[in-house]
Amino acid sequence: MTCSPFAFDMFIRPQLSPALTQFVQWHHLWYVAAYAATVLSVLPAFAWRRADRPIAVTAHWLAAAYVVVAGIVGAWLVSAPRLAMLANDRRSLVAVLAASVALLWIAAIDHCIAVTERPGCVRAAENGTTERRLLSAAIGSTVFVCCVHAVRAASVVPGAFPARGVLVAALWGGAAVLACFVALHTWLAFVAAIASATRSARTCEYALALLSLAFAIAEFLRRVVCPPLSIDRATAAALASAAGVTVAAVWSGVSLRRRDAADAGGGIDLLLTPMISRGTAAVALVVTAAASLALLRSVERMDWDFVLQKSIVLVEWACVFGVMLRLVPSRDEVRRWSAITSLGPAVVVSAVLFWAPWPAGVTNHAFVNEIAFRVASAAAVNEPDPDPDYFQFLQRHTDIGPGASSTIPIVKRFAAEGFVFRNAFTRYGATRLSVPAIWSGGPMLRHLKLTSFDRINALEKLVASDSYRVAINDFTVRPYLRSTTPVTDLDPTVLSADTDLCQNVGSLERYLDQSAGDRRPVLTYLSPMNVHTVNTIDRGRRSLDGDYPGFYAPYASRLRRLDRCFGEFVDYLKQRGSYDDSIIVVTSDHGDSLGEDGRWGHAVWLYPEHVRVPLMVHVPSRLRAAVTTDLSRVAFTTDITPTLYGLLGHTLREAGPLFGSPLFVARGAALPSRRRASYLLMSSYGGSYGLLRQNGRSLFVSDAIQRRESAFDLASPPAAQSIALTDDRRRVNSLIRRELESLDAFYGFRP
Amino acid sequence: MASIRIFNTFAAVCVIAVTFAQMGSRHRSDGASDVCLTLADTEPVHTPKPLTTLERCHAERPADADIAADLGAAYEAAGALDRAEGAYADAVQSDPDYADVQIRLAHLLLNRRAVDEARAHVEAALRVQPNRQPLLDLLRQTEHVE
Repeated sequence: MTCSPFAFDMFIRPQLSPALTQFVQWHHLWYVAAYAATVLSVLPAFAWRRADRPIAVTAHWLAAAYVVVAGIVGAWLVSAPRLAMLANDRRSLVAVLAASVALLWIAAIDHCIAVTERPGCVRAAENGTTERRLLSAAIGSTVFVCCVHAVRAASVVPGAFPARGVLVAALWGGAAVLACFVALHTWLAFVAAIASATRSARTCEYALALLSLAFAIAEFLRRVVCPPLSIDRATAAALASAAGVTVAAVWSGVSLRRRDAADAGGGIDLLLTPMISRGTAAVALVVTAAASLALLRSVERMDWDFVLQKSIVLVEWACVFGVMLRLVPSRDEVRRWSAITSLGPAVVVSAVLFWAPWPAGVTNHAFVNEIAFRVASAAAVNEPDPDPDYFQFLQRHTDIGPGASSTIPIVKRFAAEGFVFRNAFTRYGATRLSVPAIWSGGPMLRHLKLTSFDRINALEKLVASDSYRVAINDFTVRPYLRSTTPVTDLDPTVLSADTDLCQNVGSLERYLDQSAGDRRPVLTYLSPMNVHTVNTIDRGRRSLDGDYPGFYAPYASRLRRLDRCFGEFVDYLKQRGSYDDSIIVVTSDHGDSLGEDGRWGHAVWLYPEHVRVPLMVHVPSRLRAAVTTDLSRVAFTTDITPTLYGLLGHTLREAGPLFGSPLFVARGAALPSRRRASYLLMSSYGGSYGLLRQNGRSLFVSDAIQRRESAFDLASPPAAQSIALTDDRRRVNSLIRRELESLDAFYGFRP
Repeated sequence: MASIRIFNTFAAVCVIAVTFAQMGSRHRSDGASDVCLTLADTEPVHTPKPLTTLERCHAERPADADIAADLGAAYEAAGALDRAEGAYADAVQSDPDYADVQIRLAHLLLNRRAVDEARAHVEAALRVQPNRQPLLDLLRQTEHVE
């Protein structure tokens, strides 16, 4: 992850994952333990220095060299643990590749030992794996996986059975899973067929299956794991290739050293099936399912773009397939029926997927959002790129409530006294761009270095122009404020994830009391993390004060606490006589998923729940009497700074749709219409771009990571917002492209 | 026999690959025509919108408030005030917060002395655009007409 600037800044530097931090802290001890275990595993080779067979002598010298070199590396790491010193530079990539060398070395020794101890481990039998067994394993795996995950999916869509829509979605999910396993069966049958034409069928079958495994692992890493971590394509290709070859080689070494290697059927059996009895295999299936479900449950709320969950599901499928292959007995079969067992399933699957009358939108059904069905459906439905280089174009730009009023009565009263913008959005899906955009009042470029942020920090310029002093608790923009700006840091020793509005307002009140003699106006900016996913999902996951029926209690309870502290601050301002002399803005820099379609947090996504934000503004009565607004007009957090300029008497020129504009105008005027305009939205951390249209009713998202597009009708209830794509998508893609090119032109950026 | 087996399995691989490649187009449904969707995204002053096209698009997308508003404006320009009133009413039914159309509808209603209805639409517009002077003037106008 250190190879990716984004992953380094997001996960490594702030030590977001305690488990990862612990591993890095003690990695030298883990290395010593692994070193000891691997030395034990290669012990047999030490006795072969003068063996008759060259392969044995080779194994001896490889093992001896490994003990020496790896031992020196271990001593070096113990003397000065290096992993914690890695930064986001090329050394990280070199470290990963160097670690691969050690594993490949072990794999080479294992191969030499296996061939020495059991010469027939690969060549023993001439019969390869048959299509019938592969097909039986594929069908059995499909049934098992579908049963396990249908139970899990049903728990996500409660009380929906036996509704017809859910049954159809379940059938689609099952068909997609079947397609995946039949595709696996078909490829392995092809491998076995090629091998059967050679003189050493088992050896050839084993080698081809091993190459296929290496390729599959590499492709999974390159297409699924690396893109959400914003690892550039060249580095992703290098890492994925190294990892694929390494994992396959290590697995091959372990497989060949099995006691029953010579008896393990065909080459595919040798590679994939466990060396256990059939009874144990049946138990292993149950254990695999239980372990998979437990792991999925433990990671689902802290996952990043479903990377961990997809990995767990694919490992589960591989284990299930291997165990199923073990359960299917080998017997002589009539080869001439191979056409049926190889071509037949492919034709049946194609007919079911392509010709069956699946209803539109079945792939978006809540049932299909269960991770196993989601993976299968995404694999089966391969959306063609609307424009050959459109997603590449997006990736080149990427290298950088309603119903809660009962929970927040204070904010509700505040809203009644002020202006509530019902159609408010953020233009950026997460903090890294959304917070600077609030201050700049304009577009942010992912590649923009925040060290030059002061040039576009419009809010700081207003502070300087109008002689404001600043009281702030923020970790995103604060480091980039000018030294000449009079700033007081509130609660500076509190870590970002621990920032609490209650503590912040207490500190603010003390600051205001202590500086009562200072007549300068104050700009206060607070960005507490009370309801951030790090506190509502990752930590605790407990409600602070009981249940909140219909709401996610850990979030709702913390929101209620925020509301109480905000109310205390408003009361303080009223007592001080400052309330009606203050402009107060309550908003959020972005939203979060709380289990919608299995999503938690915000990651690299742009879904409706990420881009909709609250926006409430209290304006002093003397200003309120002089202005009007349009509360249903689409509003953005980038409008906040221009609004402050306008309310404080400054005139702004129209800067175009990329920029914010004042939310208030003089009573006799009208706000420029935004109903027909299109507005570019961007993920802060990944290659997701959206277009908001029709006054905030329509959201179209192009995800260059998953290479898919989504459309949403935001006027519909949350559960029904996802809609089918239309033929309008090409025009929308061109609009997104045009907006990005405008952004590039503004910054003089060339991707 | 081996070559037949290779052929069969290779054919199966091709069938699966083609199926997966074509599934995307199978699950993409046709929607409204490009013309109507483009119409909804275009300000009426920028592009003239023929009445027949607006009528067709309104029939295709009855819930689209902007198309209904444009249709009402076209009817009004053509002197078909009854039809304009109907189109504006469709627009505010789809989007009750469409203040500009509430105002246009209020003017039409006021012209034919439907004062109470006109006042209701002005008040609806004021809830969205509070304190706006032209709306307050229009509200006073409804009181004078009475």
